Amino acid sequence: MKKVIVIVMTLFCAVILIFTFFGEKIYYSIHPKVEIERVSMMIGDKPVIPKSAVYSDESGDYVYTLSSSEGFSMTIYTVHKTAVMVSPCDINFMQGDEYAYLESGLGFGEMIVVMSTKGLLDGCRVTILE
Amino acid sequence: MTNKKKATALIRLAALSVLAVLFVYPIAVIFIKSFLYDGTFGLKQYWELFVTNFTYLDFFWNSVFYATVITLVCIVISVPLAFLFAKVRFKGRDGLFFMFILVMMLPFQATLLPNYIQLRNFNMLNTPLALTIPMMFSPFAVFLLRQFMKTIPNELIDYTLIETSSVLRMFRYAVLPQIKSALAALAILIFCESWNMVDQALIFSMNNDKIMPLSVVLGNVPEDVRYAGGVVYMFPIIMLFVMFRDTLTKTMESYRL
Repeated sequence: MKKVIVIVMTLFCAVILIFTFFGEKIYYSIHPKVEIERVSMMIGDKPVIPKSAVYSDESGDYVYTLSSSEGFSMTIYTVHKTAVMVSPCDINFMQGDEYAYLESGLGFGEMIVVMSTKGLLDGCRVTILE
Repeated sequence: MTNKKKATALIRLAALSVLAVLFVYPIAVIFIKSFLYDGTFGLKQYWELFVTNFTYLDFFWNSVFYATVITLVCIVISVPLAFLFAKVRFKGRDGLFFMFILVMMLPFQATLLPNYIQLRNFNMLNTPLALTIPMMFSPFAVFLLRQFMKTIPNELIDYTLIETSSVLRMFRYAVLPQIKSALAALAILIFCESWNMVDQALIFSMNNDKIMPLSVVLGNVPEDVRYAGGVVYMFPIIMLFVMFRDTLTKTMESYRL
């Protein structure tokens, strides 16, 4: 019996120690890092968003918006698939960045993901690239 | 065994079993539910606790630190004090011991304000010192050890003192071996008490959340990992009790505590 208790205690201590030293590192390494931008640029009377933020599938165009909630250890960021309607924009006014007119689907000032280190899925947690 | 005696034994067994189930039920529920996350069975809840809520373990270590330091210092302080009350004759000893017992009877809340004022005057509020120093002086520990030391024969102490000419050596060879089991039991009790501190931490460290022990933080843990958090919190205490159960019960029984 005592041997079992000692083994269980040792395992418990090992788990606690491992996650004490590596828990935070694991969190930041398993979640995709993303670059975000606010929908704030206008050309004429229409808002524009970077083309790199727009993805397409059989249901149409979509972007990943960002929501945040206060977690126990830090702010937890989650991305959500949001359907948008975009139209081509020919003006390349910033060092080759390509933009598209935003027709509908997003509000002004909303946060969208413009770049990600890994593939994203609806509802997945991400960390923000500084 | 007559039928009447058998029936009485059965009823007693049934009553004790019901009580045992009542005590074990909450712990069993917490333990089982800690393996459930979003309706699936596994270790996901622990993963979420340790990875997404990684600062939880910082508070765990806070608790380990407080409980260990309090236990060690409390024993170091209590042993000579208990010896004083048990073996050294001086004027006013019984009156002083009566005061000790009186303080032991007081609930923690009664001494909260004086403790708070004292810590504030020493600029110790919101520091780890505020959570450890007030608990290092335990009248209960002195009382318990005194009861044990009273059973050590005076001749043994005198003989060791003459042989070694050193109070410290006398302690080492004559006193400590006799109260080993009491020290173990006391260490467990003090460790548990410090591990479960809540009021002290909330009052003495109002403006510094980072130094809180796990017992206080447990309520703020996200709901989806609360059961795993509860298991991690309870585990050291349960294991400590299981490991030293015999020592603890023997000590309590032999001194009718």
